[in-house]
Amino acid sequence: MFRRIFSRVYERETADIRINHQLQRDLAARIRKERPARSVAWFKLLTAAGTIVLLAFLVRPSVPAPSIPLSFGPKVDDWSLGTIEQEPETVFSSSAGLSSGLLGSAPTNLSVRSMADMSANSADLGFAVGGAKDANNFRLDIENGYLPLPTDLTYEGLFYDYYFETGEQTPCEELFCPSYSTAVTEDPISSETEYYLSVGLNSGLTKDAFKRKPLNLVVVLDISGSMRSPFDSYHYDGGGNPVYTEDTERASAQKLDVAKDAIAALFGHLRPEDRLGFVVFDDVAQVAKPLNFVGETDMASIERHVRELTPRGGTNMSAGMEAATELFEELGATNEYEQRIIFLTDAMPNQGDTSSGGLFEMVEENAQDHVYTTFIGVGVDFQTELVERITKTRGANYFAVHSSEAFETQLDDGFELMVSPLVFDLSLKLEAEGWKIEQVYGSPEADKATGELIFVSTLFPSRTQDGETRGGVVLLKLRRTSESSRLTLFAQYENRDGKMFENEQTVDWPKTDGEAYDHDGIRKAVLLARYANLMKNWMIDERRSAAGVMPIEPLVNEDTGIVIPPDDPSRLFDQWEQTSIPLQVSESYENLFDTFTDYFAAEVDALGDDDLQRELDVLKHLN
Amino acid sequence: MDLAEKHRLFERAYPELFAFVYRFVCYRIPSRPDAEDVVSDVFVAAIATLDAFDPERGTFSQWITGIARNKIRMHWRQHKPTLTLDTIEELPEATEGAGVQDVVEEHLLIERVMKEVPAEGKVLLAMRYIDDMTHEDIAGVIEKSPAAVRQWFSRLHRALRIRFTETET
Repeated sequence: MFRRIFSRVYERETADIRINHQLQRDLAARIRKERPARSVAWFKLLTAAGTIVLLAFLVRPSVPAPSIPLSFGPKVDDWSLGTIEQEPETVFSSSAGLSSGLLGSAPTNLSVRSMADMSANSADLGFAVGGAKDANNFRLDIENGYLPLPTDLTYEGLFYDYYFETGEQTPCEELFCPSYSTAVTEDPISSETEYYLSVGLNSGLTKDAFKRKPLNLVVVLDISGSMRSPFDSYHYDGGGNPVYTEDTERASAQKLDVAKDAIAALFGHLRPEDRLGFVVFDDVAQVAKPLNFVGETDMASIERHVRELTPRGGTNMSAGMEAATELFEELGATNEYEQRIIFLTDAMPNQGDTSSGGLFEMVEENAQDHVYTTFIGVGVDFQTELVERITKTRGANYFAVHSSEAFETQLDDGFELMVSPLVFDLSLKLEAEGWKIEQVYGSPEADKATGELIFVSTLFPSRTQDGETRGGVVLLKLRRTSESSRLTLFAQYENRDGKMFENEQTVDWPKTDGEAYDHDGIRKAVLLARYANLMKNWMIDERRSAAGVMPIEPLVNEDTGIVIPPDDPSRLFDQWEQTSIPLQVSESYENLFDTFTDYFAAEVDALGDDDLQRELDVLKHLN
Repeated sequence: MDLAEKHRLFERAYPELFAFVYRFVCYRIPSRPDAEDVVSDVFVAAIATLDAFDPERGTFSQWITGIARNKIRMHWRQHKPTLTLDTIEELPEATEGAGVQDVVEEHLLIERVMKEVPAEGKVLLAMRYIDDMTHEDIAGVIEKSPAAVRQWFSRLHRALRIRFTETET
């Protein structure tokens, strides 16, 4: 009876729903465009039709195969983790075969809800580089009374914590449009004049046009003994035993618990058409779950199994990486899916191949097969030095979990973006008599720059807000050796399908006697680059002092200004188990911080960006 | 039938299909912007897979209903609809006064009460009575236990019966 009655109610109420005729027209236009006679040569048509539609296809370029997963089979709990056998010879054992599920290909993800929005070119996405995606570990260490590693603070990670005006003059109508801006400014310590050029990372992508491809994802979880430590303590301070604060009630959660929360948050962003695999590792690695469709997986049971994992044993990151790679090898090549390994770890390997070179090669080889890697660092002792090295590769990025809640928010804001690299192998050549590139800030591949050339391996889409792009600039410090004022910049990059694009622009340096910034975006970038330079110098010097290497004589002084910190001065061996060094600020740095804080505070006022207050708080904490 | 012919027929049926799909989706996803996103996804998927449509196995309407159901499920899973199971308490009390006397047929009374179920409760009713989903299926979608879903329907039925009995007496 209820069924019959409700059917009547349903009929009447659905009939009362008013149709959105604009949407009906938009979709009708879309359907007409897809007529078979025209779609045969759709690439040519796209080229002729121009920018916006092209961009939508660049995001999701491939025509979906016919067997779209219109429905999924029964949900299965395919967790297959048993006891990990401690066999030193067996580095990696796969306990489960690969299942490709019932469905062979992916549905289209190109939404055309609002063609009007697309054609209006509401460019609400820009780009940011790969590599570090935050400066959380730097702040987390200081907050907990530890001296951070110099690699805890990267320029690109710091930039990604802020939004930047990019100096875009005309709306971008292509996948990627660099824009160039200039600044002439005095070093706040030495008063020497400095020249900067910013590269704005603009895009014609809109949020409406962008939807990520379906994802083949393998989560690799470190369940080694060091993951047993409290989140805010250094595991090896206790010689490998957990270190708890005196106030046990205050002791924070285990790193593994935080990692589990992060995984649960990740699961919330998966779609039925995504595939998920799961690998755990300690001394050895084991496939805990084969790569199967999320729509056919009992995700509640999988999460329960993850929650039941307990820490044990050593840390064999290379075995974890190999096991994940093998899952992808069994799946075979695909252009229909994004393919990514998400590695959750404190990154202190002590077994298997612990060399940064060896791990880098694994990440690099996977990238060549279009399997990219994300590291999610857990714990205050997360070894950024290792991860920073091994993520200087195509499609790689890394995050540091500051808190479970913050990470969940971060994923809500950007999961789709963090798994969707769109621009690769960007090179930028500077052709200008009398100008040289002295330093690159905001790119993980800054060390590959020469006087004329910079290189960025990957650009990920990035949010914009009030016309500013999150992490949307790379900053070049230039050396001027003549009065020539014209610079020619030649950019070249590939899209995800390997198609090359070029862009050439000329920049005329403004004639000015004093300080001049083209806009607040470059001003903010210069401020943050100087801040990071000073902090890195401080961390390096204090670490050297703590190690008894040398008394502190800062390279930063009134003669030299805020110099670029030296490369990796302390690390000689690939050993990653680190103990903490208490937070310390020598007298010479106290004075420098004092001067720099005044400059920073004045710039915060000038820029009107309240977010910068957090760096000011760090400076005040160190003063 | 080749792809070009299917496309031509699909375009001809489009106005009716759009109206049907739009209402079908909007009833099941109370947020209108979200529902319109899903409607777009349905048609994009339909066009992309038009070649797979087999007229001997059903009509365009049946075929696209399958796509719509799938997209709606994907949306629910992705967005975790916040369907509470407390709505029965919010149902109106047995109609009083002139309204009661006017209602002479039990169906009309139940229908009247059903119409007052909040929109999110209607989603559950549509899942159960229109889409023929089991309690277990519904529980999987809204991330509640099957027992809780079963209880919700049981309470709804009881509430409707009580109201009917009250009116009879």
